[in-house]
Amino acid sequence: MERGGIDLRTAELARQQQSENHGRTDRLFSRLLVVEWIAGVAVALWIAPRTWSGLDSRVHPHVWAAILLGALIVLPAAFVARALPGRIPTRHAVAIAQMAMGSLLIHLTGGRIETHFYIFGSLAFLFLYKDWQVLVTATIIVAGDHLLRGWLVPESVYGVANAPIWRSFEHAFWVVFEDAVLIYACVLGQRDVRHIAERHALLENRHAVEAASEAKSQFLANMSHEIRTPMTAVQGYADLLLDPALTSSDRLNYVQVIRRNSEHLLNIINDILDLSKIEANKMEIEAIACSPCSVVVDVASLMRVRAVEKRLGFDVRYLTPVPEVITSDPTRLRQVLMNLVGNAIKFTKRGQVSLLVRCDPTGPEPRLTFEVADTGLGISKEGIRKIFQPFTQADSSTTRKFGGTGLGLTICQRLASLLGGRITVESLEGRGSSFTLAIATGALTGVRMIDGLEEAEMPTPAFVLPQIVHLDGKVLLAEDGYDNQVLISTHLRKAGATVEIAENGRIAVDMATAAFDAGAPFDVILMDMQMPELDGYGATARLRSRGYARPIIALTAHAMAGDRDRCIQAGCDDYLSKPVQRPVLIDTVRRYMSKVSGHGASAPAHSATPQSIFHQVAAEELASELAGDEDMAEILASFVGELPARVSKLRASLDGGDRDALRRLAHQLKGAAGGYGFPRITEAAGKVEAAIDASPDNTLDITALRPLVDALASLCSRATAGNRKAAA
Amino acid sequence: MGRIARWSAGGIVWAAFVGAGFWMLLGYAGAAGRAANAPTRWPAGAITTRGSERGTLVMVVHPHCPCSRASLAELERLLARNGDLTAARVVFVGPVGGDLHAIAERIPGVTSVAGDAAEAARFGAFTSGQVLYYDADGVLRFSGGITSARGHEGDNSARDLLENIIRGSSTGDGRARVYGCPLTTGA
Repeated sequence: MERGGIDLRTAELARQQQSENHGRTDRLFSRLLVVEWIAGVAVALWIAPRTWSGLDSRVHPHVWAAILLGALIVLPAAFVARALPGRIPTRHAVAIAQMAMGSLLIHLTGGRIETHFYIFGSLAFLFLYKDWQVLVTATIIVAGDHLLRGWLVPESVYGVANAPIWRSFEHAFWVVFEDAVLIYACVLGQRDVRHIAERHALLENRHAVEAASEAKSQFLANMSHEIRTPMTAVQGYADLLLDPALTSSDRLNYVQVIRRNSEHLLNIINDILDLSKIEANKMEIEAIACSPCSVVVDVASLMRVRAVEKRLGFDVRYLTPVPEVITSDPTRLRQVLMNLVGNAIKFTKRGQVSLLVRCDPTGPEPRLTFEVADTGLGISKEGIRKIFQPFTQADSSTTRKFGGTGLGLTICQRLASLLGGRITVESLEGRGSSFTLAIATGALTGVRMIDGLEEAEMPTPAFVLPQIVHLDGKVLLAEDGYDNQVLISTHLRKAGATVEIAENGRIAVDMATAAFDAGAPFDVILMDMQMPELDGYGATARLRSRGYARPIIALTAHAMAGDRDRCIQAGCDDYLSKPVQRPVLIDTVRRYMSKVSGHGASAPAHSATPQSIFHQVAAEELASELAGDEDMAEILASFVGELPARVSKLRASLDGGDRDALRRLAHQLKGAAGGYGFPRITEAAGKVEAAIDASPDNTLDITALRPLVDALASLCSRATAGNRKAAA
Repeated sequence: MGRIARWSAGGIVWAAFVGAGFWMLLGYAGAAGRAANAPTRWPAGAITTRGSERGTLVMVVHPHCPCSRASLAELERLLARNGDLTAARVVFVGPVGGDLHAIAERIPGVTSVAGDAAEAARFGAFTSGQVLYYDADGVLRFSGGITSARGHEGDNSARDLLENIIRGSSTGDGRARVYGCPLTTGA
């Protein structure tokens, strides 16, 4: 905290301290005034209980005055002191009552000079407020009383009708003298309060700095753990792969472990980089036309598998018509939704995770809202306050128990802000949470609103399309890193392309020029943008300056939005970020090959609109996400080939009411199908299993289960059909 | 109505009621009793005795009147300064009891007299705390109270006047209002 912050905190603490003191003194006076009232009545009863007229007597008026006038003076002030402690008017009301009570007591005691000391005692009592203005009010009451009575009934103050003016000054002098002393003490007291508050503020600041340091240390420790764990797995399994005696099955398993862990590692690094960029205000957000439905489908298709694995229900509901196209950054929107849905699944043990989409197209700033509701652990109020802070999770044990970097929601909230919206949270501990992301959609004038959407009608993401892509053309890969040379060239060669490799930009320029001059130009150049000697930007610019018009696709590890522009400005046609996703790589290369030669496209071209994507999916077929992977083809065919038999067994178990067999078969299918690229079969099998588990022991609700088994069987049939077509 | 206005209105109403209460209290304190119709010379037949060779101060007191406690306190102050110049008699008229007898007898130079309505009538006194001062010749020089209000001690012009008369620094006669209970019912 800087000096200004400490000063502000000091002032706040001093105010707090004074407020507490004022409230405490108010409460003290609320009792003291009542005691004074009772004392006044007692004094009146003792000194002048009755007044006499010859042999007759009656209650003395002083007794009535002590009771009634005393109550009138005391009770309103005591009430506000009790009901509204700490308020400024309260302590001034108390001061007025205190001085008036002194005046009444002087009167009731017959004007004894000793009772006048009560006035000075009252000022001392009022000093407890340490508020000089209260003393001024009290003094005004004394002065007003003397002036008024001195003017109207001078004998009642000075004993004589024509008191000299100096007697007024003499009376005033002693009160003012005490006031001056007490006011000076008030000022000193306030200075002390401020000094104490400043010390507290400094101490708090020190604790806050230490806590922040501790949080960062904890964060670094978590990061270290989070990074080392997958890294250890990657290294360990890579070592295992070096064993030549490995079976192909083991090798496949190890590669999958390495891939899974490297993806996790990449996520962590992306989180850290994202936060760094956001903190440095370097995060650039695109504003392009995109389909929110496509983003939702992407998120749902990836998250559903996780939900099913945890036996959670997962659904997407469109509560209102949604725009076909909005202006936003689909990558960041997807990132935020993935995080929110991922968290919901992570922190939900049983029940349901729902993604609810609605749009408010009215008003000057239309908004699209995504609500992720779960039936999970819920978050405490204190936790809600903390979850959007960097390096912090709702509970420090959360990281240990559930993993994660503690940065996800921080990043999401910042991204939501960059998308023109925000994330709000409602949660009940033990009941679940609801995270609502609202984003700006841009103008929706003329945009078609899609009504009555069902999740099943949503477009399927491009990279799971059931297509086997064959590349027919020459690719120049300009890449200095050996690993990426091998990886990318392998992907391209397996897809059918001829690949040549250039170690740096200069060689790439020479090879491309030579091939062009020889009349056998490359169909596509994949240009790494960071290379020694001549980088991709320079190489691309040199080629373009020589009139090279064929496609150049940039490869870069920088995933910022601005990098795409920079690559395009350098002369590249497109942009791929590392690590390269094989389907995206193949699809991008295919598109550019088809542009230059027409022979690169052996698969149907993709269209940008969700509707056209949807129409490409054959309703009767269900393709594996691994279709086209030659290494997987054999075992995939084997798995799919067994599906009809499995379905027969499922139906037989259902018809026979064999609960255990049916559950075992569904469980096996659920566990295996996802691994073979069939998440929807995993989901359907999971529903069957969950329905069996939900029924009472040793019973089977065949009527309820049959539609679920039918749905599962239908998916299996479609998978069989899809695989048959792929094999053909 | 804003918060400040509400507080101000409430404060004004409150102050008005409290002020009215004090005003009524002052009105009661400042209400003088019936003045004495004292004989200009020491009354013949009075059971109260005159002082020899000095003036005589007579205070007529109702033994239960709380207001007269202040009158006796002022008498004590007066006699403390002028006790050698005057004799002092406190004549109690009314029902027996009360603590004023004891207070009076503790004042140096005071002779307490158990009087009655007739004795009060001889001095023409109607109000407790009535003071009469007869000089050495038995001539009435002062008639009135020596407090400024009912039951209120403290410096006051009536006591100062009486003191001046006793000391001889004032040659005229003195009159002052008297504050106290009626000595007889209906007085």
